[in-house]
Amino acid sequence: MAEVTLKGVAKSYGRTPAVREFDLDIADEEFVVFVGPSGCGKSTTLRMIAGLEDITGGEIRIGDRVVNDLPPRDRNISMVFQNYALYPHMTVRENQAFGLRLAGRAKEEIARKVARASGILGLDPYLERRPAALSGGQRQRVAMGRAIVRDPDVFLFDEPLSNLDAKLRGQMRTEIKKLHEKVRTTVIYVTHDQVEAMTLADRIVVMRDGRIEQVGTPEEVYHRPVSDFVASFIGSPPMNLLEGRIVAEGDAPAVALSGGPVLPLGPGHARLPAGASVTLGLRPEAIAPQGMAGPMRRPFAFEADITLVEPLGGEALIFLALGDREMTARVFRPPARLAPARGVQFLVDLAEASVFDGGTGRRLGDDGAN
Amino acid sequence: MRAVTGTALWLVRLLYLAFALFPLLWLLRIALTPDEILYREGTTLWPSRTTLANFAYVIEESPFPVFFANTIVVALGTAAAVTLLAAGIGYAFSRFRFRGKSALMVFLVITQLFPIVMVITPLYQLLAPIGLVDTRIGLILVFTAFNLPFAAFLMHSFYEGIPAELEQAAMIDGCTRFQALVRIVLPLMLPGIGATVGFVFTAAWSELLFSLMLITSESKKTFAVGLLGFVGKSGVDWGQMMAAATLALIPPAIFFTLIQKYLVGGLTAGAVKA
Ligand SMILES: Nc1ncnc2c1ncn2[C@@H]1O[C@H](COP(=O)(O)OP(=O)(O)OP(=O)(O)O)[C@@H](O)[C@H]1O
Ligand SMILES: [Mg+2]
Repeated sequence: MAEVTLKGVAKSYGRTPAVREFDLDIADEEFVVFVGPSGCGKSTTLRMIAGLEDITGGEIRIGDRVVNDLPPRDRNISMVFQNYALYPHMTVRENQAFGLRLAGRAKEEIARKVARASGILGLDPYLERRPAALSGGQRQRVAMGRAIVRDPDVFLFDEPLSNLDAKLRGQMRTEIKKLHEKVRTTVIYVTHDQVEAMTLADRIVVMRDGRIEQVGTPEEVYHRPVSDFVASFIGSPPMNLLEGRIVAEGDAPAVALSGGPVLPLGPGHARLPAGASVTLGLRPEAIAPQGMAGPMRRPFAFEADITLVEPLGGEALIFLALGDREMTARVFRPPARLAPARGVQFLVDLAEASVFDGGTGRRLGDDGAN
Repeated sequence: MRAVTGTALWLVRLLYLAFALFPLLWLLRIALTPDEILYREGTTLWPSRTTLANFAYVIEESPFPVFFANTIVVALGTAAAVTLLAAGIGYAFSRFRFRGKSALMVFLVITQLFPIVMVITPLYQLLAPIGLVDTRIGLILVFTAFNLPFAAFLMHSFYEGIPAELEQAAMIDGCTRFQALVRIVLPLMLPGIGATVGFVFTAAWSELLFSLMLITSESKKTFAVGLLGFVGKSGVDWGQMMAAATLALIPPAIFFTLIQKYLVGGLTAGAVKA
């Protein structure tokens, strides 16, 4: 059980910075997910917390200890690697017991802890097998078993599910979540899969180029992304990002999409100067053909062509062309007659709109008053 | 179709075996042929009469037992020294980042480009003043120096086959780096160590050029140099030479039988998802 605190943590390889000025407070028992595109420094940050990578600046605390100069073995952490890193010459039982044996624990204690972990993870039938004789999913479980037997202060996961097929990935995701309910321990979990991030995290840390782009609950990150980068990274299909210009429309501002309609903004965006170039962000589920839309706070009607429909069973993705741009809408319980068509009436809930600076991509306005 | 490819495969294997083993058969044939009929019977696959006289002579009367003992000492000494050093060098190359690493690796390759004859004279002049000419230690030193680069590369490639995450997992589990090395890497490196030891031992066992140049006393000769002793002024004593050569095959054969179980790879399978 421990908090983890990173203060101005930085890492460079030679002259290339991999992680810069990383500040984060992780609460005890919190499940934090680092997410971001490939190469943004997620693994590097995790490995610095583990002690597998020296830090070039800043301070890392686990509990009340500064661990900057402690070797991995003195940090009381466990880590699950993307490739599992099971000891190939040891059985499943030995793999799990290895850390406890090193720590010189009593035989009975080791047996009890291994039995408990194996029970939780359903490993009992495989205890005497070597990793080579296990499936990918089973190996994954052994790696988790090896991590939990040691009752660490912090669990570190580096893309633990990315080597599994989609179905197994979904199952293991649920299991990891359940596991966290059972063994309440601080978890830091790295992934580039935003679905994993959304479903598992208490808080999501979105990273970009070695920096934190946004920290927040899944809801915050989803509904109030701080930048068009976060907006396009979180959510699937991603948020529709439409370029436009602020125009004054009476006393409230509006966004004139280039070659498209003028969409009035809420009072939260009242201070945006006319002429400013912006990017308007609309979640696919905030858009729907008239008649299929749920309740909306500030609906706005427009006409567009449906170019393609992707039915997904309980929901459907509708691709629509508005002037020269493409948007995606997501509707739930789609009717069977949904098909490409011209001049369809759509509704969009502008209360759900995000506005980003056209140049910097930063979020503009105070959405509270949207 | 399957049966046909199976049979064809066996034929190819047999052919290869025959090709590889024929010289050995010939060696044995000449060693077992009595001197007086060696030339008289001409080229037959097997002589009409065989004798162990050549072997008896080599073992009981010639200085070959001493040559063998010398060769075993030198080959084992070299194999041990090279393997230990190569294990360290290969590990450093595989696991650490350091300045000049790639230049150093290139340099190691370059040392392999020079023909050995080029360096014999300078080497002699280097070893003579410090009293290492005509000693077995001197020979071990020279062999070690010459086998080390390739052995280091061999070890390096075996280390590369062991994911660094295994050691990292062990270090998180409570190992020091050294413990991780001994408890995780070492068991997985056995095939690599076996291959390196085998390679170096064989190379040292049959080395001729350095031994010929650096060893002068009869009591310190290796068997490869000793074999040349059968080439006399009046001709070559083929029977005795081949008997000695046949005997020289035995120690490496025993040696490989001992290490062969470590040569079998596949232990690392299952460490990580391929
Ligand atoms: N050993 C190294 N030497 C030099 N640069 C490195 C090294 N390891 C990582 N980097 C660089 O540091 C940056 C961050 O790498 P990191 O592995 O943390 O990315 P990541 O976010 O985990 O990406 P992925 O999703 O692909 O795993 C990358 O630009 C990478 O090229
Ligand atoms: Mg990574």
